[in-house]
Amino acid sequence: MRILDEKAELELEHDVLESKMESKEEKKKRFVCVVCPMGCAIDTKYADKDGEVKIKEVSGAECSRGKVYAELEVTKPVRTLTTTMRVIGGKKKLVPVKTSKPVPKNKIFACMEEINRSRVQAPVYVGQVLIKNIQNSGADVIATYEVEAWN
Amino acid sequence: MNEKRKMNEKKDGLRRYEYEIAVIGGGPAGLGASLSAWKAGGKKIVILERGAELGGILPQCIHSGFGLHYFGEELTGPEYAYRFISELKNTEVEVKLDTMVLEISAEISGDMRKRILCVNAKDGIFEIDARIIILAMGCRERTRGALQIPGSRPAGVYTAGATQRYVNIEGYLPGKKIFVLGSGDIGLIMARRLTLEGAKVVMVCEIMPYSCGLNRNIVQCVEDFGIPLRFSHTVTKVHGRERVEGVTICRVDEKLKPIKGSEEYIECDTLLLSVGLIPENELTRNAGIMIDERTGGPVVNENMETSIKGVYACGNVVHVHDLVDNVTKESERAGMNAAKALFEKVERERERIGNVEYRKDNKDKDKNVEYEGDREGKDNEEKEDENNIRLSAGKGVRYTVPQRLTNRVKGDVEVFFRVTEVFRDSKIVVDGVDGVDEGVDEGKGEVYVSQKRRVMNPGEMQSVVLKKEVIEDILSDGVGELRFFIECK
Amino acid sequence: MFEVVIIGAGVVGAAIARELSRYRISTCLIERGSDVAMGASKANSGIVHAGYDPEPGSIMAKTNIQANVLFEKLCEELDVRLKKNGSLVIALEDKEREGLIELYERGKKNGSWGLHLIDANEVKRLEPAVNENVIEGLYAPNSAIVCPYELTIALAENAVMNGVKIMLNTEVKGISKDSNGIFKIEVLKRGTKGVLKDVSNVGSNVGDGEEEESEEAKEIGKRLVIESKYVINAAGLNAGKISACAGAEKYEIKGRKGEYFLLDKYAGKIVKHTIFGVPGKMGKGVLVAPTVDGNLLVGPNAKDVEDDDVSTTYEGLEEVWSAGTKLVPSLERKKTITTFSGIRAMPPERDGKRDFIVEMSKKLDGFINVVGICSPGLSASPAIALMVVKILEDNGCKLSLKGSEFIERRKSIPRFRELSNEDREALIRKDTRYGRVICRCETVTEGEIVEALHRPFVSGTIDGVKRRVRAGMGRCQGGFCSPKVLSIISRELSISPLEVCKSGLGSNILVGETKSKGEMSER
Repeated sequence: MRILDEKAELELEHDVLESKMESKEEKKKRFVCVVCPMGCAIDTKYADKDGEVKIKEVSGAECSRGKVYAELEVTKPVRTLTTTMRVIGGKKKLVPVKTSKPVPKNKIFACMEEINRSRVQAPVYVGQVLIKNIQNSGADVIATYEVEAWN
Repeated sequence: MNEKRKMNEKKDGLRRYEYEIAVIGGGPAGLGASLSAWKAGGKKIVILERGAELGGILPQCIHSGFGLHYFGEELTGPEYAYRFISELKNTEVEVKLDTMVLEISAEISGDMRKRILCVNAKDGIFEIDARIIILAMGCRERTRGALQIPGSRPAGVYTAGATQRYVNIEGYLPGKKIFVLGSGDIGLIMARRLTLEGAKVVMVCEIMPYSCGLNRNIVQCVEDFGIPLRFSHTVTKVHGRERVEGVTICRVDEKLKPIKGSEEYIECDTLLLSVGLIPENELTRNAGIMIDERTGGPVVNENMETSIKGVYACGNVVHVHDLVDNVTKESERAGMNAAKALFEKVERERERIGNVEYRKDNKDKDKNVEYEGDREGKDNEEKEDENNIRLSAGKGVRYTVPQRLTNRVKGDVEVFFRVTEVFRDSKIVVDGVDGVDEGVDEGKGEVYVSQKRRVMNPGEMQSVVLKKEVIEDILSDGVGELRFFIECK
Repeated sequence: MFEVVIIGAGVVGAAIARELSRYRISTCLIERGSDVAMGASKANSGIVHAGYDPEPGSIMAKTNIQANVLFEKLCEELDVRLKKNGSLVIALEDKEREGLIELYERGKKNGSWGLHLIDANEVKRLEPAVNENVIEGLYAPNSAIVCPYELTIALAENAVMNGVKIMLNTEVKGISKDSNGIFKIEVLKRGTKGVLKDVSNVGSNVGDGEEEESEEAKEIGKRLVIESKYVINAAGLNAGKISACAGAEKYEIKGRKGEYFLLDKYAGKIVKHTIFGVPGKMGKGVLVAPTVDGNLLVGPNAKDVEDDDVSTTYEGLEEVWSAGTKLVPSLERKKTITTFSGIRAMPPERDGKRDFIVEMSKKLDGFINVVGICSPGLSASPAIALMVVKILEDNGCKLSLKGSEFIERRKSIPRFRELSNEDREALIRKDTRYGRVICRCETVTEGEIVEALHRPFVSGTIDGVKRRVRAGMGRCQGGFCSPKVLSIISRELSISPLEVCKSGLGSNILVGETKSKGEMSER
């Protein structure tokens, strides 16, 4: 497991500083892999040319899953978004929701805004699609619990 | 117990409902236990749940990370709960919602019947009469008061769970500028949740020199949002007259004591506490069931049975889990064993795990297992079954669950434990001695298990399996005590 | 116009109000805070002292002794729990013996009966958990424990039941006397934006319906002028300022902070009696006392402070704990539920001694000062009230008793956890809300919380409810029940959940709704 302690923190800070100082061509980033409890520290070197990211080197992963994770984190970091949505006419005010698959990290707040502006009419069923293809991410927003309607 | 309301009082008009199995708590543990009891053939099962719906804490845990082991899918809390709640609808298990259990009286009578005093708005005060009780009350959060954090007592100091309820169920923000104390998962998850809903989390502060939460949460809840994470620090003062205005934090030394001169003031309007969970065992203690002070939960054997025959326990009420999947597995064992017990003929003498006499004699030897029951004059008279095997936590091990093995233990037994600190490249060793605490050094007894572990940390529950053959050896060797300890290189 | 206005609804102000409500005399009780007992009255040891500590001949001694006898009847009338558990002062060193004997002699002089000096073995027999090095003890059977804010609330409720007007969230801004000798008390009544329910709305407005604002939002309120023949200054820490601003005596009231630990009910059984050490220069010192609810109190220390900041301190708590464990070594710190502190209003030193000041001002006729009521203030409060009545009488105030019109008995909110099953069932039949337990730790039902919000006067705050029914006072400190209590307050008082406060104005629990438009933080 990753023991994120002060030593690691300092190292991280150092790396970030270092990468800022280096040429824009080659950047470094260290990740702590979250795929399994081992928490390998994976170092990546990549180039960022006008938004296009290309992996140059990945080291430190004990397994291939970690390598894949690190590459994804650099090129296309994604996150599953879980939040709540307002319900109209339901026995509860809110229904918990999630994105059907991870969405690009940089779209998270835009997704939040869209979900916050939305309302759903009760009854709501588990798995019900509430917003299709949110923010053009390819993921839907689905309900993760049910809400009964007032009769 | 109040004079006026002894349970064995002559009850005129106190309604009594008879069941075979009563499950106290309708969260994941209660759901798992009642479902598995049902599947094992148990009949007349009732769940007594204090909330307005089943699911326990899960409906408000809207984040994902549940069910990876049990279902092989990554689910959110509500989805996980929903699976069991829907399955329950296809059984004849009864559910009493909005029902609070006030007292458990585990009378040791011939028919092993137990009484549970309950109250709800619909039925008023009533008793549940059951042969088996399964305790599944879960846990509560450690508070600012328990930590004795000095300062004023303004509005704005909340535990993570209470905050989660406000945000996810009620739809309110308890603050705009949040300081999180504790890097446990709940605090990290709420840091993310509050940030997504428009609040600013100014810092997450952790007293230990390492993080207590899962890697994943550190990355996705803290790093993703650029929230500063400070180790070896704690809050030493709360400021603000009516509402929190800020906190003073301090660096701590190896003994976790604040270092004078290292104070720093952080402005915030909310102090969010994620500083530990405590099994909720008031009912258990008051019923006279033996408690393990190291876990805060009842002492249980391999069947998840407590010191009182017919009373089982599972889930966070026994020890605080990290993964709900393990709660489910544990509760399924409890439910299954409870149902089996119903069918067992009670021919032999009841087995006990502990009694007052034994504890009195060995008070010094077993400081960690205490009897804190409040059973006015009800002393346990039966002797401890000498054939019970005690599992004790040695060097590097905080506790084990189960704490006992009966002499009829069969098959593989998975023993769960937590370590006291971070161990890398170490071994979990289990050795046995004849009597309790004979003074034989750890490792010098008969070694039954010695397993290498790459890394173990206190924040993640560990387990070691005592395989069928090992169990058989332990029994035939006449072991009285099994010690679990960590061997470092 | 009123005949009497009492400034300060601590236990003393409330006791005076209740006593005056026996007479046909219009009375108004003004309180700055959002509830009664907001000062030292809610943060003390809750002890009804036996009367051996105060200086013989002092007002402290006279009122303590007189009130001790009155307490049982008073609590019975007001349905307030009183437990006569007795107290033990223990000497742990030879040199403390002298102090112990002095207390004994003083007690006898004061008229405290039943006092006994007992030997070490007897102390240990009575209290096995006491430090085994105890040398000697002073046993006082007349020492009792009471819940101080429960008493204050009961006194105030009974006063209101008998016609006293109470104004919460009302701060005195100025006091003057007009040419007819009538007092004009300028107050700022806060919370007029509907946050806290209040029974009365009296006095003449300065500019009808005008809302006056100042820099802090807290200052929004209505300026009112209340007229009165007499003013009773029972304003605790602020009594000195009030007296001075009215033009009466300039008292220097210093604050002395005391910090406490409150331990779990599982620790509550460790001692039965209230355990004191031999007193020192700064007062009675740290004690270990059970509470009427079965918890254990350890404290208070004594530190002179300059302001009214009731924050606990690291050093203070360490001091208290170390002193407490000297008396009872087996106290377990991990059994702490919470810590808190209160500030005593110390009277000024006169001739090297400190005593209560209960007197008609010599500078300002009609202005009665009840000032510097530190320990044994709670114990003496019923007798202080009697003193004030006498002062009014002596001044020519016409006091005619209401006789049978006076409602002597006040019923408390039912305590579900203390009732028999039969009584509980009966309650639920009358109101099913008594069947819904909201606070798990203290077994408090919805019915009790609702009742707390419909009493003779109401403090519609989380802490106000907490003090009345104990919801939130248990192990989880409201972690489980607060959200529910909040929605009940919101529902019963018809206010938005966002308006519910923990205690004073500005202590809103919630700051906004999730999914509010335009409140996304900029990234």
